[in-house]
Amino acid sequence: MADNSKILIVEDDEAIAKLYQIELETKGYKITIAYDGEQALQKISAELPDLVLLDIMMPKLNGIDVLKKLRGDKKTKALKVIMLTNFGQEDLIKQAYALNAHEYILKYQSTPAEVAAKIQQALNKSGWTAEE
Amino acid sequence: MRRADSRNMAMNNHFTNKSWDKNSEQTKSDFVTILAHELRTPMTITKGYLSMILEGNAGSIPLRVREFLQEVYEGNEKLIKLVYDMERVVQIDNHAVQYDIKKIKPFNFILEEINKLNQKAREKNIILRVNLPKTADFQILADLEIFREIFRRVLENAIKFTDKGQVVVSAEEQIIDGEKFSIIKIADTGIGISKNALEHIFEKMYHANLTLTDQRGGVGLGLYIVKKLSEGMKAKVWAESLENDGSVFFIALPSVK
Repeated sequence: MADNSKILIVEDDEAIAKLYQIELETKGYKITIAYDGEQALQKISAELPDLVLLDIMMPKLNGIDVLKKLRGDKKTKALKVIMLTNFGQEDLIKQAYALNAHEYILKYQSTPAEVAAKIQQALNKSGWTAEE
Repeated sequence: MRRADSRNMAMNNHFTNKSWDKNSEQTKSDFVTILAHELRTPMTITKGYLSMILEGNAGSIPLRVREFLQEVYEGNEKLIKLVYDMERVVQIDNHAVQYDIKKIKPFNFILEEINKLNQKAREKNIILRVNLPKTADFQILADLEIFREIFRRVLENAIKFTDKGQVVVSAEEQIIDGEKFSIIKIADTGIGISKNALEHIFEKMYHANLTLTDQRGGVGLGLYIVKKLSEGMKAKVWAESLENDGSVFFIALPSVK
């Protein structure tokens, strides 16, 4: 089943951003990319994606601070956010989940196909199903 | 586009807020965290693009090319593991590992970890057997993820050092120094460990002392990590071995009274 949900990839490394873009576009998702935290907030506000893949270590504003700002805004309070990072520190994972991140994925442990599977799960977990 | 400096500034508050002292343990630990992160970026790129090629996303590839690329993929996985171990040792030595100790029933998690490693055992023609009694619904006090890491590392080791025969996982309860422990045994028919080496296998970087012919890859951090993580949750690990005959590793976890 083709899914044309809008996904924003927030990732400062171009090669990594492209990697997920290719994988997700083949699955039918509409992809936009932001290369730093501030750009991420602008694009989220302008495009209201269905899901955000959020890196942590980025220029201008890190991913945890981006997530804090999203949760503090009525419009993006419930936005689906998957953290996708190479930082596995327990305190960052706890902070992200405390801010209602849907998933915390370590890039180096997952292939793009595995990331895509988690995205699909998160998008399906919307509180309603096609049958309803 | 690599902008490590500005990215590091954006992350500063997540590491240390103390004034910068290049000799402090905290600074060294933060440095290793950043270094590990920077090493993982090219490894992620390699893993990601290779997996897409191997899954056929870039079109069909000749069998021989696939074989070679699979080797590159495995090599990259080893690098990923090495960086993880390096970072884990620094966390351990800086007492930065956080334990969330709860009552857990480890039976299913043991089976899950065994299933994950079954393929590896099969590739080496080793039988991976579980000999847990049906009543093995024992409850232990442990951090679940750390318990899984300890068990996985010991089991991986057993498979790595066994060239023929089997690796058997079993469990029993025992009283040690008046306290009840659930003991998980991982017994292999591998190359074994010499009496001299057995005294040192849980020490950091013990492999550095080995002669070149004794080496089987690895830098000797794995069992040190196992030992330290176990101590962190009041578990015990030890080993018995006969050279050329096999080894038995014991992981003793506090039972729930």
